[in-house]
Amino acid sequence: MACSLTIRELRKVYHRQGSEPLTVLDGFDLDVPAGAIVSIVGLNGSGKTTLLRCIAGLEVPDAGSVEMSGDGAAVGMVFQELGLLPWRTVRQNIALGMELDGTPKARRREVVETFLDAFGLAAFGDAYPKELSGGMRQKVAIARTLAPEPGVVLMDEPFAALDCRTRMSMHSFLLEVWARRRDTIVFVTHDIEEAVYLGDRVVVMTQKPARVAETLVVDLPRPRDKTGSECNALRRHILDTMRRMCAGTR
Amino acid sequence: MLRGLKVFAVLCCCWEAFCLAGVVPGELLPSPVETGRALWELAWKGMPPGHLLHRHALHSLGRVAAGTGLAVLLGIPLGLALGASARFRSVAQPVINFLRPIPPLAWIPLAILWFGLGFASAVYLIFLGAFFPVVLSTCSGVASVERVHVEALKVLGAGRWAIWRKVLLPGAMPSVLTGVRVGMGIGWMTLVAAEFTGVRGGYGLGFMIMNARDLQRIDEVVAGMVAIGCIGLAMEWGLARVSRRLLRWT
Repeated sequence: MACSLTIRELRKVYHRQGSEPLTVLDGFDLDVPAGAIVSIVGLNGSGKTTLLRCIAGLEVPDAGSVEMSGDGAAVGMVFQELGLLPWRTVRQNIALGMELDGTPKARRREVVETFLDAFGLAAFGDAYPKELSGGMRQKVAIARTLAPEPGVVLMDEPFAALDCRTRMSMHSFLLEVWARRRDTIVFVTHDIEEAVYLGDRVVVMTQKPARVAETLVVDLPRPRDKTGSECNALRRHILDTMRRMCAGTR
Repeated sequence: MLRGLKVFAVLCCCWEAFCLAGVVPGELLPSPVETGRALWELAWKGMPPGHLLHRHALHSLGRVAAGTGLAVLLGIPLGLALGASARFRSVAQPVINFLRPIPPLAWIPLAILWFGLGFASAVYLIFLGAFFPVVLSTCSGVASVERVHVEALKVLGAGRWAIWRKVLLPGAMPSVLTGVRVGMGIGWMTLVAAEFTGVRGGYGLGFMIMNARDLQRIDEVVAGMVAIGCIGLAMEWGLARVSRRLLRWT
């Protein structure tokens, strides 16, 4: 089930016509233990999304390795834009991954119903995405990603577009689900508060070409106090690191 | 629907009033009452005598259906290929853009030469009218499918065929249906010209109109136009209903 993820010396260069090649990632190392949430923070344009796309197999890295424990383990990804198929109902969207991996129909239906119940979507099973609120759409996207039981779950700023209240309730929702299932989650965000609140570890990325600037262990019990002194101290530390990076590039 | 009928009623009243007031001379435009009488005559006596309106309509419907059907059958696959492959698009688009502005009317001599006077010629001309809207809409439909939808499927493990079946085809559907509607409309517009060539049996609304013209029966000409308008309206209404059904998710 939950797998660990090991990334070594990852390098990704974009070759663009008529301009210098752009090195986005260079010598990027990352260890994600099985069943942990690792937050990755970086400034906009620091290559966070590229990193996830390399892990997900949407981009081919130029060098380095991405390895998961467990044979044939798959990754799941929650996109920033969600990517729910608008012509499919909630049920059909959640079943999508299982249709593709050949899960028998009866089993599919069972899993979908379990997710609908657990995610509080039971009344919206036959609704189309356009009929849902932002928070509910997030839940459907998360359910769709988790339903095929991926070894590693990648999340690309999934809550960035939500209003403050919905984002907070999605944070507790995600942690609830995680506490039950113990998925391995790589959570990318530019929001330091979010990174500290969710992660067992927080990885701070440098600017392009991105490497790991530092890794912090967040050894605080959950639920955490977002504005408690421990969280604040970590946030201040990360902010300082990022400020120094900005100053360094100028 | 009801409002639409009211609008028609008001327009007919204005038209009748103008005719009665002598604003429009009778030899230039028959009044609605005269047109109605002509329709009645066409329905029961026929033009030429014995060739009744409903048989003209059925023959024309057959031609439009065959021409539009052919356009859909060939246009959708071509549009899909164009939308999916930028390379194919760059090769084929100049040719399509060259052929597209040539009016179906200009094809009449060649159509007669190739297919002879008859059904095939008429169908070919209607096909030419309907083909390009179908191709272009389908192409833009495929090209407009959001990248995140395709990528979501890829991460869930979809192969090429699954991406076509589960994302590109349903995603292109709204555009395809619009293309079919536009194509069918243009198919009707091409009809009269097409029936210059294809009326060996002596049936067809276009043929009927040209016959009425030769006999200087302006009232029956207008009645024929009204008949085409009504059939077109009914088909558009039916297609719109089908689209709404299929596109409940939009």
